[in-house]
Amino acid sequence: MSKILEISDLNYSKDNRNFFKDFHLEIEKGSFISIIGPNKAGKSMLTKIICAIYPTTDKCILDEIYLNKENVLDYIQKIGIATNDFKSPFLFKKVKDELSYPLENLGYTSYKIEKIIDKILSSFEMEDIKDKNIDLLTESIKRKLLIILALIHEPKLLVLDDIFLDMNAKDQIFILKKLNELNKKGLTIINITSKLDTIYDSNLVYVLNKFKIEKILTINELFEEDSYLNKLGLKIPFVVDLSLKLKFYNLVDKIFYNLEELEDSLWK
Amino acid sequence: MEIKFQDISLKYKNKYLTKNLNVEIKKNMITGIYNDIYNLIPNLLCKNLEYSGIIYIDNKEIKDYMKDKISYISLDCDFLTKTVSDEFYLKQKDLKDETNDYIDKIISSLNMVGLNKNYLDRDIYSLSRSEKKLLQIALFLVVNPDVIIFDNVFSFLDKRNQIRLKNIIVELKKKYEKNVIIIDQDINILYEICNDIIIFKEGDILIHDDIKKVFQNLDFLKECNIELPNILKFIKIAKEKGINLPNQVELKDLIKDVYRYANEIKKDV
Repeated sequence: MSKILEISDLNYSKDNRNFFKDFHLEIEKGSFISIIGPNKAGKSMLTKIICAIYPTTDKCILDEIYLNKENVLDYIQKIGIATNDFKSPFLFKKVKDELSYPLENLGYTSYKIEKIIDKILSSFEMEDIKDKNIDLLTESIKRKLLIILALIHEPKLLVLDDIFLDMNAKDQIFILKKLNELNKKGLTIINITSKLDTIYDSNLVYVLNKFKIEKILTINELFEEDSYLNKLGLKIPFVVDLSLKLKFYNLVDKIFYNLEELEDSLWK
Repeated sequence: MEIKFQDISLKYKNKYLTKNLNVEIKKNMITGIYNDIYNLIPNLLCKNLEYSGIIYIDNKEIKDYMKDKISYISLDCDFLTKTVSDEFYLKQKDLKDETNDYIDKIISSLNMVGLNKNYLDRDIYSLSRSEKKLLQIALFLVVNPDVIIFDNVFSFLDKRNQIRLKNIIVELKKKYEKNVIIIDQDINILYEICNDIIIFKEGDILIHDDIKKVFQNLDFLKECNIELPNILKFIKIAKEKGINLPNQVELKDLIKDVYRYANEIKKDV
């Protein structure tokens, strides 16, 4: 399988403080991976390095493009990023204008832009927000809008940085389902998150701690290491935590990710 | 501090965000606020908005009340100066604190949130997201407000810091007799720490009551599409299977109930 993203020998420091040292990361094309880690692990910084917000030279290779000053526009064209990091991430007042802007920059006609916007809003079941003012949207809907904005130029790689933080439970379930569909159609997704209940669809989970990748595991392998997760200070999702504790008392025989399935097994 | 909103109506761009809002928050409570999509409570308490109706703090109208006695800690991290100690000394001007022991108050505030005096010389922009959040909290603690509003603060903190913040909040209520208002998307956070809860629906109050009472009525909550805390979801599903477990707040108590019940079934079999 080919790699969509490769970071090699990254040494990153800022203002006399050292962060990443000899850092390596490889992501396979078409995979859906999650990167988890405690506060101050370097998750946000890694997102900014991958997405060229913090500049590096020839350390990040995306779909065979080396990120440097000359290639930066070709590089970022292939990435969509939705992050929780900025206070006011929107440039315009109306949803329609915000969605049109990246497409206008690509030189599309108004007719094509209108069609793309209608199609993507419809696929996310959000046609009703098209003519609304962004400042009157709820935080949860704003997060969904950020994801739509990240996808509107059809990138090869989608990077999410803690985008589920202010999403309500219903929206989270819907978005994860949508991301799963997009992943099956070939989109590579990196979900950088502090919420472990958003990682169940991932092929692999990378655990980042103190600017190093400590482990690369499957979901099942990860949750078997509950004492490691507790030591890192990561919050184990309720159903998984409950499964582990019930398993300890021999009341269930495996880890469940779904509450109904857990209770079917428990009370049979 | 008893806080009373009386017949409050608020308009924004020709749309009523709320009409005839009436809410009373008793003193020395940890009050949870859920689904306040227009952020009415903090906006009304902390900003100079034009609304109709009256807000009372301890039976005095809010316009006569010192706004800096209400602290609002939110997602927007607004720092005005370069270093951590600069921020504290800027706050000192608000306090009009001429005492010599201000530095002791600063260090005690930092320690309370799990930072320490080594942070004083740090540049603000070099702090991580969670450190900035903890610093915000420390800055507000040093001001010694009567009412502290935490707006979606928990989600930015990892488990260790969440537990630390919960302990701070409980201490603020028990030892320092403050009013704490917790606004959060995560109903589990509210269920675990709050005494009473205000649930909004589109700018109106759906229910305001003691938190245990509100979560007794699972059918009402389902009708209103209110997300249940995880523990209660578990208990509800068990009930549907004919198993009656008591409502609990802590996971360890739930496990004890499940273990006890499962062993009783085994005995009967």
